Parts: sequence; C-alpha cells; structure tokens
Amino acid sequence: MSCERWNEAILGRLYDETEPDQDRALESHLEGCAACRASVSELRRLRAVLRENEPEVPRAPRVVVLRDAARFRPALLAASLAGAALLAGAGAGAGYAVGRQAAPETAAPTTVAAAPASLDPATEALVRKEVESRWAALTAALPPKEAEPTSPAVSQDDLQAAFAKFEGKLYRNRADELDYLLGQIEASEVRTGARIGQTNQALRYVALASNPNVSER
Amino acid sequence: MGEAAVSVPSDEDLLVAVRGGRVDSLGLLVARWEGPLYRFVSRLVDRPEDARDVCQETFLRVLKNSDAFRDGARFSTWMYQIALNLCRDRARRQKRWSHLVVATPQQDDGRPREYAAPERADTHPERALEREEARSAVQRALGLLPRDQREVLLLKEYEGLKFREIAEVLGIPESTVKSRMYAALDAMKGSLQAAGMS
Repeated sequence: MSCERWNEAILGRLYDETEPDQDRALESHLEGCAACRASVSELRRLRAVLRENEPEVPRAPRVVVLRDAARFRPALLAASLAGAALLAGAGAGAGYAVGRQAAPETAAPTTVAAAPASLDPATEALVRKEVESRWAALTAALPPKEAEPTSPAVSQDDLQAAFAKFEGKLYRNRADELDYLLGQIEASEVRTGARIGQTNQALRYVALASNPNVSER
Repeated sequence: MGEAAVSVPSDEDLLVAVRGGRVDSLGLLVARWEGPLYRFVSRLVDRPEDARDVCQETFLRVLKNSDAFRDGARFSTWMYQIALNLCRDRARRQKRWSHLVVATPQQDDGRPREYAAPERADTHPERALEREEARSAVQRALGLLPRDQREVLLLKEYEGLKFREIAEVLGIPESTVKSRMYAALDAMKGSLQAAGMS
C-alpha cells in the first residue's frame, strides 16, 4: 500500500496533469519508497488494461433535431405554387387561343340550316328542294350586291380594332383572375405553413410524452 | 485564443448560435457529441433505452436552457453535467443506488454472444474469446464500483476530462475527485485481480 498523501501526485503523473513542484517532490519520494513505486507501475498497467478492454457500447442512436416551427420558411412552397399558377395561366391562354382560332370558322357567313333530324326522307327532300329554289330566287334577285367585294358597314380594320379591344378586355379579366388566384395561393400557403408548424410542435410533444421519464418543467 | 483563425466553430460558438435561435447549430452540436455522450451515459444507466432517453433529454435541455450557459464555461462540461444529473434522477427514481446490473457476456443458454467491434476483431477464435472475457471482466468491475467512483472513473478514463473539469461537472472539489478516482482505480484493480486479470 502506497503512502496515502502521495495519491494525488501519483494520479497527476498517471494522467499527465501534474504541477512541476508536485512532480519533483513525488520523484524524490519515489526514490525512497518501494511501495509507491510499485503502486505507480501497477496503476500504469491497470490503465493499459482498462484502455485495451474498454467495454463495448452499442451504436449511439441518431438524435434528430426538429426544426423550430417559427423558423418555417414558406418561400419554397410559394415559388412552387406560383409556378403552378403560371402554368395554369398558360393553359388558360392556350385554351383561349384555340377558341380564337375556332371562332372564325363557326362565324362563317354562309350558313345553310340543316333540316331537323326528325323529318322523314320524303319531306326532307321536299323542304330541301323548296329552300334551294327560294335561295336560287333570292340570289338571282340580288346580282348587284354580289358584285360588291366587301360589306361597307363593317370594314376589316373595324373588325380588327374591335377584336383587339375585346382581347384587351379579356386580358384584363384574366389578370384580375390571376391576381385573385395568387392571393388564394398565398393565403393557403400561410395556412399550410402554420399547420406544418403546429404539426412539428405536436410531434415534439409526442416525443416528450412518449417518454415516461421526461418531465417538462 | 490561438485557434481563432480556424473556421470550424467551437462548441461554445454553436451554443451561442443556438441561444440566438439558430436551431440548426444544435444539430451540429448533437452530431459532435451524441457518440461520446451516449457512450458515457450508457455506462451509467443499466438499460440501452434509458441511455437513449437521457441523451435525448440532455440535448432538449441544452436547447431549452441555452440561456443558462455561462460565458467562458466549456460546453462539454455543461453537457456532461446535465446528463449526469439526469442519470442520477433516473437512478433515484428506480431506487438502484448501490450497484449496476451488468449484462453478462454469456447468454442464458450459455452460447457466447456475437462479438462487437469487428474493426479490431482477432482472427484467432481463442484470442477473440480472451478479449471478450477481458472486456466483460472490466465491465463487471465497473458495475461493482460505487456510483460516485464510477462517475469519476468514466469521465476520466474513457471521456478524457481533466480533473478540474470533472470537479466542475460534479460540483465537488478537485481533491475529492482525485480521492474518488484513486479509490476507483484501487477497487478496479482488486476486482480484475479477483477475476484472474493481473
């Protein structure tokens, strides 16, 4: 058994945490004390054994840090929703363009009314014949009008101007609608953000609550 | 501070960031310390799930009480302090003050359990068995230490804290830390000799 009062100094030497004065004093003590010398070497061996045979510890589980609810950033969501809205707008535009292309065809000036489907073939033929004969009479009665190249009442320019006006109005309407849509998206994004925050908070509480040994103070 | 030029933030810097509301910094602290903390805690409590809970609660308290961290203190000391108090609370609740129940290396049916630590696995089955036995002898000896001695020995020998830091963690004088440490080493020596290890 070593001299008890040197224990601290021996530990200091063992773990390289010693004061120079203390270590010098220990050195001179060790020269004359076999028990303490034995103790130092035994403890050195013991330390080696402890280090070499450090008990195994299972792998540490991952600790996941949940994001703070207040730090939720809706920018990404906003960007994606805005993108979706733009796509929707583009779709609407395309639909409108198609409608425009289709419109002149449906507005073709010469329209021959089709006979009602319910008529029997004989009556239909009769009606058709009658219509054709009247149409022929009418067209025959109006030869000078046929000669006119365009209708004086509505010029091509007028038509185009009216069309442009109509188009402008449509665009304004669509812009208003898009504004409204974006407003709705923004509102829903704020609601979603708040809900995600609440969910995170709830998850944190669940994590705490499911642990019987954690007490919230 | 000669390390001021190093771009890696210190633990204390990260804690200041946590205090400022940057929860991401806690993630970095967790990544740095979950391993050592879990190792320390799992040797103080008797069930792996307790160790996991204590670690989780320690980091939660770090987050919640970051304002209480004193400037100039070391983060690791503070963290060990929190963890140690949690371990003690748990032990108190479970009324298991005296000795740790250590899992035996043999399963109940007598079959040797699978060897961990393949990175330094001995290719010789006999040597592997010897090492496994030595390890479990050390584990048993640790489990037989009185709690106050075990705390000091674990912090010193396996976590590498300085005596001064251990005194701070435990809130006791450095001389008391050293006397507990000496007693712990003495007891370990006795237990290991009794187990046939010199």
